[in-house]
Amino acid sequence: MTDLDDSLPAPHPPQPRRWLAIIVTVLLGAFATVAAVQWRQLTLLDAGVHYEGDNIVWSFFQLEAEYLKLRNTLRDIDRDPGSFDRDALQTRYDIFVSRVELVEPERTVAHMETRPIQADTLAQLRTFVATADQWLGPSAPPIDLAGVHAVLEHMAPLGEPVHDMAMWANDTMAAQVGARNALVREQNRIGIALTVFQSLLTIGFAVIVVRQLRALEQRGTALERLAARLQEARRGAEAASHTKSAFLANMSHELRTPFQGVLGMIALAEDGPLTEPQAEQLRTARESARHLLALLNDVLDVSTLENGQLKLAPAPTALHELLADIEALMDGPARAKGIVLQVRRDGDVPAYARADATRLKQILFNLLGNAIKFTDRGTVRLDTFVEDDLAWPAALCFRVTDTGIGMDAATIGRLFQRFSQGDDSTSRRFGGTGLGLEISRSLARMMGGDIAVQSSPGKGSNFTLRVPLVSCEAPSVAELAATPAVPDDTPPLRVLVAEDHPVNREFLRVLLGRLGHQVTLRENGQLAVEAAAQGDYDLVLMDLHMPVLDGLAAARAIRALPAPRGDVPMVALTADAFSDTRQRAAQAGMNDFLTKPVQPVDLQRSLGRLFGRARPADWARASTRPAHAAPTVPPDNNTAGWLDASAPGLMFEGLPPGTHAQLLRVFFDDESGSIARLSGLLNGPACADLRNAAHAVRGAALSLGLRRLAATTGHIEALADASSEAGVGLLRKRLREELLETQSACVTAGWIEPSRARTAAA
Amino acid sequence: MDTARRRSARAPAALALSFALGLAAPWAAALDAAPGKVVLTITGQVAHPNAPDRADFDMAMLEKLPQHSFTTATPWYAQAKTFTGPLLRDVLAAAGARGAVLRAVALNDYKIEIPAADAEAFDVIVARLLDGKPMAVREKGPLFIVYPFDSRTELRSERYYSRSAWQLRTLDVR
Repeated sequence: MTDLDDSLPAPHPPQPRRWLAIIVTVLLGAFATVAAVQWRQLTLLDAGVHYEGDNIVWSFFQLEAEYLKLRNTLRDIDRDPGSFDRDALQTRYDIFVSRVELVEPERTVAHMETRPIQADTLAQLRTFVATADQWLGPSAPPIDLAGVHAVLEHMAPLGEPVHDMAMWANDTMAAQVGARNALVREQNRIGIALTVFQSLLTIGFAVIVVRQLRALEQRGTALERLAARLQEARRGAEAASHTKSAFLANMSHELRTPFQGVLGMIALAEDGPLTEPQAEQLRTARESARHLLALLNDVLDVSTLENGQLKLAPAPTALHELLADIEALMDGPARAKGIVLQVRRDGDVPAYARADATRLKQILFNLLGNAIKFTDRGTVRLDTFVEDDLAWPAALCFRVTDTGIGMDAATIGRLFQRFSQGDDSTSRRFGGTGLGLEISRSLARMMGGDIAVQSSPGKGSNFTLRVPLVSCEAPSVAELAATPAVPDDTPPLRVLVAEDHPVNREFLRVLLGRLGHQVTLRENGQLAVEAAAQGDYDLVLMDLHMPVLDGLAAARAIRALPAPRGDVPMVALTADAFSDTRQRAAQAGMNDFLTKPVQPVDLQRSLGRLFGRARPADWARASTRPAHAAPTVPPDNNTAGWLDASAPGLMFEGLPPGTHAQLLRVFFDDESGSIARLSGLLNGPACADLRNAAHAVRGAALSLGLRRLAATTGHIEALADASSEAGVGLLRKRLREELLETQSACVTAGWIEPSRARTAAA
Repeated sequence: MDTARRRSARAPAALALSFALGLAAPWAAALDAAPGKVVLTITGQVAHPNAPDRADFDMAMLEKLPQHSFTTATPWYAQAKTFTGPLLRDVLAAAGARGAVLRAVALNDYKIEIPAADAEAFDVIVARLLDGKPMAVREKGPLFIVYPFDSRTELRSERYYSRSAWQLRTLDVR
């Protein structure tokens, strides 16, 4: 983080901002000053205009001029009475008088201070006019020569004062004009200085703004770089997290196989003659191993969830059967603790809904397992109901209620957090991985639902799983409707099936035949390669675990054939769905991958993927009876542990009636001898043959819905895988017992006739 | 600047004046000789002279023309004064005067050139009454060219103050 921090420019010092404020203030001040100066200049100019209004000095000189003109006129008449023109004299006198009032202080005071010289002279002038009006006034009698002389006499002494007054006015005004000019010059100087100052401020302002902008730009770039680096860091972190998740997923997967072996060994050891302490030790070992295996499974789930690789596969699911399965499986553990398990469902719970049955079961197993774990007395109940509130889409609800120890609010708050359990003491007391609820909630949310909890200490708890209810028709019909239609004129495919177990072989033969394809069956990889080399096939279905030559080797051999026979599309069949198995199949040249037990819908989809057509029309014709018309009698609690009630419905949908029963007969009669072979090999040491034999029986058991047998043979397979030398023989007895039990369970479930109740293994 | 403006305004103004004076004045046909004392003489381009090469007006003739009156502040009096008299353009029309420039001459030989367009653009009067009374020569009379200064801002400037000739005696039309 340090280097990220360093790349950011240091936060801007507040100084430029303060400078900016100062400059703005000063600028405003400068503007105000300029405005004041301008206003003053305008006022001065206005005064100038008034001054110009009538040139004052001009008025003074006019007065003097008129004085002189009048005096000259009077002198001319006095010297030469012949030139006496009374009217002209009168006009001249009147003009002179009219000039006097123009220099009255009331007119001049606005422009120049009145001085005694002006007042005195004006007083003399007024005295003269008053005197002269005796001869020349408006009401005076016409003037004679004597009058002219008298006026002249009175007028003579005024010459000097009038001239002095004119000179004084001139000087005063000149001084005033000079002062005003100086003032205007001063104003101009101030104005220029202010303008320069203003310009400097503006430049400073601009510089700061530019600097700020540049800093902003740099900061923006730095932020962008930081964002890019953070993005990079996040990508790195995500990649690292992804790698870790992938590593966890791989590790937990890889660890599971040897653990199966450990569990198998423990189971065998427990079957032997043991002292009491040994039995106790083994029981503890088994519990620990189980716990570890559960932990591994949870870790695998969490890491695939985190990877985002876990994808839900919603399909039409028989809800009633699913609930029956859960009840069958959880009943044992509940009984072992002396608790009553009640599974109830409301009448409006539909028979089918779209759901990922495996994941739904996983959640319910987790919730019920927890309930049983934390309940010592009383009841654990699973209620299934539909919540059909008008405001919300209908929800399918599963509520698990127990009478266990319950939880306080704080515990509930921590409940869904990773590796969190009630508290440390519960953890010690009850064990568990602490991942189960997190996984369950993640799954529930992936389904668009959630898990809600209600509990109080000592009063038990209830967990409610709500998922959107998507009702649907019986499975195959819905599935088929969703499959794109293909032309009817598609030629049937020639299919080579390599499968070591006769039940599976027979199953695939019937299935493919029903789809209108031509089927060739081979018992092992070697025979399949030979057939592929000699005949033309459109498709090869290849079991991966076969005696003589296994599926992967056979696939490689076929790919090594010259074209076109080497290019035939191949589909792998296997009971384990691990991604590395899938990868190995792809590396061997397989085009697709099917998990056993092979369901018709899956096969159809695979054909669709490979050939772009799935022949759904054939399926539609074949499905003349409802999908659940295969034995639907819900197995009672005695058979549920042994049989998978949903198997016939899912597996034998669309096949001729009685196929399931016929295949069961083939299986129990051991027409292929595979059970006898497995039984025989169980006497010897663990080896690849034992593994393959167990795998073959397991595949058949899975296809037929024989749950317990599939589990046991899976067990043997795991032991053989782990190359466990010790006492596989002990499993022989168990296998024989289970065959008998399974057969009677099939009779109870109505899958086979009682007369068939005999077995080669017996 | 003043000169330039005046010159530019002169040509179209002369045209406008000639139209107005030549066509619009009904009394312009003839001008009787002035019986009383002549107070105003119009010389130059005069179409209706009543004396050799000029049109003479006595106070009665000016009084007969339509009279106009307004009150305005002036630089010559401390208070606003009311001036009354005929419009300058009516006086010019009566004399049949055509020209671009009027050269006004006062009793004391004060001379100022007035663009003839001023007579059209503004209601300039040849005032003969000040506050309702005839003006003596000593009161800047008997005739006073007055612009309506208070009616327009532009008139309150030295240019128009100087054109307001008082003690008016002669208008020379050129």
